[in-house]
Amino acid sequence: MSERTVVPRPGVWLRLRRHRLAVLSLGIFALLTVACLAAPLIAPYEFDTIDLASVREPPSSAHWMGTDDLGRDLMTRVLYGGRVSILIGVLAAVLGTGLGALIGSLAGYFGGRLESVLMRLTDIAFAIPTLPLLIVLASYTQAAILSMALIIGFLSWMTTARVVRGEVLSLKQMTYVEAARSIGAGHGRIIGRHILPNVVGPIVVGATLAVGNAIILESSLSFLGLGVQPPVPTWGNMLMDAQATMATKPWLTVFPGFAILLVVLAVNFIGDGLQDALDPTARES
Amino acid sequence: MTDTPERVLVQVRDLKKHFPIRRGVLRRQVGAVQAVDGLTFDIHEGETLGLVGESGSGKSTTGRALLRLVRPTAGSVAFDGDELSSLGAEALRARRREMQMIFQDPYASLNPRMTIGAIVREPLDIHEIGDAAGRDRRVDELLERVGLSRAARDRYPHEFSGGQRQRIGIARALSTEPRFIVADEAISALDVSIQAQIVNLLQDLADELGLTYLFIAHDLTMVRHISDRVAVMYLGRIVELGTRDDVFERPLHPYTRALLDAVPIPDPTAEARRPPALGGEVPSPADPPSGCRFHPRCPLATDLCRTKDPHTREAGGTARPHRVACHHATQPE
Repeated sequence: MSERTVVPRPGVWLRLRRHRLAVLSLGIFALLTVACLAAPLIAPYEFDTIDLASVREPPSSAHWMGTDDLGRDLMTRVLYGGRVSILIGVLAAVLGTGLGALIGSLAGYFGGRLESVLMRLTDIAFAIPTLPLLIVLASYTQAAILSMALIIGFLSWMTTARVVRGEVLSLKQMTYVEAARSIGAGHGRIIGRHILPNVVGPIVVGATLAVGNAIILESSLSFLGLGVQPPVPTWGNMLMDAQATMATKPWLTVFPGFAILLVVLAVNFIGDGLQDALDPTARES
Repeated sequence: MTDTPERVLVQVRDLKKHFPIRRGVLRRQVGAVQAVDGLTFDIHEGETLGLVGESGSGKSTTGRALLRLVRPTAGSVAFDGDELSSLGAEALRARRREMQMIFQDPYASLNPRMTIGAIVREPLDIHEIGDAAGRDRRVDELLERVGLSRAARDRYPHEFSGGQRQRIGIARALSTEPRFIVADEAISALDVSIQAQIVNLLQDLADELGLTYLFIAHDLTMVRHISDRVAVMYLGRIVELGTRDDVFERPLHPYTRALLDAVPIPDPTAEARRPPALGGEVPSPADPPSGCRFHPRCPLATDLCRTKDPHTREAGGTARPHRVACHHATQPE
């Protein structure tokens, strides 16, 4: 009998550790985050030191990633930029996905009029073009990291809401949900313990995608003047600034672009590993 | 059977559950599936009432309506004297401690993301029974009682076989020390060799804990084995109700006889002499036949059956009343 052989069940953390790519990504993500947080200590220059004598220089031993239009060291700016970008990316993704999961699960679980109202709200939010809304918001709000994360979060919950609602609709028909009702579980417990844990897959995927989106969206906000204001760098506004010279001065695009790619990829792999680790039925490879 | 006065634990009166059929953009109701259409019966404390019938006869809906997992369209269900529809949400939740359900599909009825320990413990958490250590002890006790090892606690449902999962479902149902359990086709999804084990476990538990069961099944052999009384359902109605021996030895309703005749006989010569099985299919419960609902398939049907719905009447019975709803029901021999 399998139940007689006592093998300790690996917990979530142990199962995540088996996922090599996820562990590697976690390492890279942690390293990047720490490096960015430690930017004032490890960056070779100040992020706003202008050196007009060495403008738009390609990578060299003095400037590992080259310099920008104003002769500022690009590596320094990438490090400082990451502080804002990573923070906004993660914060906005958590916020947007959390809001989406909440709205989606309420709509799917309770159905009826509440569902109609919430899903029409989702349709409306989808239909509002992002850019004009941002311009309106830009005229009312002060640019701050927290408010930007809030705004981006509020602009990106709809997909998660729709996906979660669909999943919840099918999950609430499961016998174990009926079993939970039959033992007297309330709505909160049923949603929190029986339905949402079985939707983590789509939620985690949504959240990892949202990190990348948030970093990009932040750059649009910066471009419109709502984002973080120059001279403080973010990966987004560095990319924006480099648009015109992409062909002639590629390093200005490549390094911040590569930083975004690295973070988005790492987060995706972490999400992937987490999804498997959270699923007790997943095969151990 | 004991001589003590019978105490009614579950009283069902004229219970109906109709599921609306809606069509069109406006979702207008164009009809209703009459899953359960007027049931009246009692379940006595400590007895096992078997509920049999073909698929679509409304057995499961009846079980769910008794536990108020579906809201009845009409009629009443009283549990230990309390009318369930009059209870508020909180009172009903508290009452659920005393009435539990064992489900048909042992694969779908356990949350795949919860450990066995958490599943069995959940009812104790919900009803705040005992302290943390006490609940852990109780989980160990329950697992052992249903024949699983304590090591099962930290494992997940997918690591267990169907029979073991059903034992887990039983442990969960028992955790709050309920008085009444609805076993909805609790053995139908299991291998034959496992079915007997589970039925014996249920029976031992009933003897030991004085449980009352509504045992829903379509396997007549198992129903005969476990039930004190048996109710036969056809298209949302109870057509016959009586003690196990009355129903199995002296069936009155032609439908009951057809069901009994359909049980395979483990003897090839006798099997060959078996009367032909019931023809046709169960008519749609959205549009039940006029008069007696069984008349299109009934060998005894007359004009009376096509026009007039038979009342349930008492037709003798040895130890207990034997009730039947048929114009032509006769005592055999």
